[in-house]
Amino acid sequence: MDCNKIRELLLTDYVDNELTRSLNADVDSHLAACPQCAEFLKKVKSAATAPFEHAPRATPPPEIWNRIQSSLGTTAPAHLPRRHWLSATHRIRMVAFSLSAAAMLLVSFLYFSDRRDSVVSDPVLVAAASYDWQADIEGNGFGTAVEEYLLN
Amino acid sequence: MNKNSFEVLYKESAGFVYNVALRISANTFVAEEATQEVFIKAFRHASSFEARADIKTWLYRIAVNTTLDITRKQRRESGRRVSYDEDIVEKAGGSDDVEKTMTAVAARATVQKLLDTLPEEQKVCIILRELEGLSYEEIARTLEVNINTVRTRIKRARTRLLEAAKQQEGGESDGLQ
Repeated sequence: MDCNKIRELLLTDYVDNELTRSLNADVDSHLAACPQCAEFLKKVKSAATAPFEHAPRATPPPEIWNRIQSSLGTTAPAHLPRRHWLSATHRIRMVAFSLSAAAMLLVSFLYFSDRRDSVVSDPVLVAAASYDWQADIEGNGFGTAVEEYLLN
Repeated sequence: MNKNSFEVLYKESAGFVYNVALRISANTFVAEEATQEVFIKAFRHASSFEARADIKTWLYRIAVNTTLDITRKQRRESGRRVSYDEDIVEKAGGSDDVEKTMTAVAARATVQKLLDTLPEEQKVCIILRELEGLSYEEIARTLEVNINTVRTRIKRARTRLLEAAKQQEGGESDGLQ
């Protein structure tokens, strides 16, 4: 290997212990015979790797855990579906359901308002409306006048 | 994932998540925000990663991406920026061993100064390699890049650090003359 290839390895795999044993031995042999590459290795170590050795590590402040806990207190557990994820599909269903329900209510309202008008104008149902149900239950039976009207 | 196992995960991983975020951002405010966000994401996506063997790689990836996102956002909102040194010194004020804390602050500042001479992608590789001790393979998996990309980034980063040291030496010897 020439010096350029060796120096590339010195900048990377060699100082990071990523070389195979045999390749590492080849580099060591080259370094023993080449003072320029050995000097280059010294510089790499002093400028690019040594400053990071024993670099102090920071401890995360306890407030982070407190904030996570309070945040998760209002968050759905992981195994449950997420509300915002569902909202896209559910929104469409909800709109469709609401429209259907509104349409059904409207049709029912129109149908029954029409029926109520006819009930008012129908003498039999006027009589049925003013019928004393309680007295009939106690006396002759239940809903006879209405049944007769509907069956006829 | 129940809250107890989540707490165990936090205790085991918060240190490296926070340190990676702190080194990338050089800002304790961002590091805290990123750490918080990483674990909230971890909790919400627990079902998808609980079965995975490489939770640590996943956390490193989320830590790097979340910190870079917050840092970029923060750059746009320059008013929120707090410099690394000011923030650390301010926090050191409450410590019992001020001298020890100040030494750590100085050492941290030296490392940070070197890291800040590097472009973002090289900086992340050096942090993961030098400060977190990840192998090239682990860095490649974390960043979802080819292992040769990792090798190239590390080579460029160290070349840049060598040049910076050479310039500094030149400046110092010029000053002595």
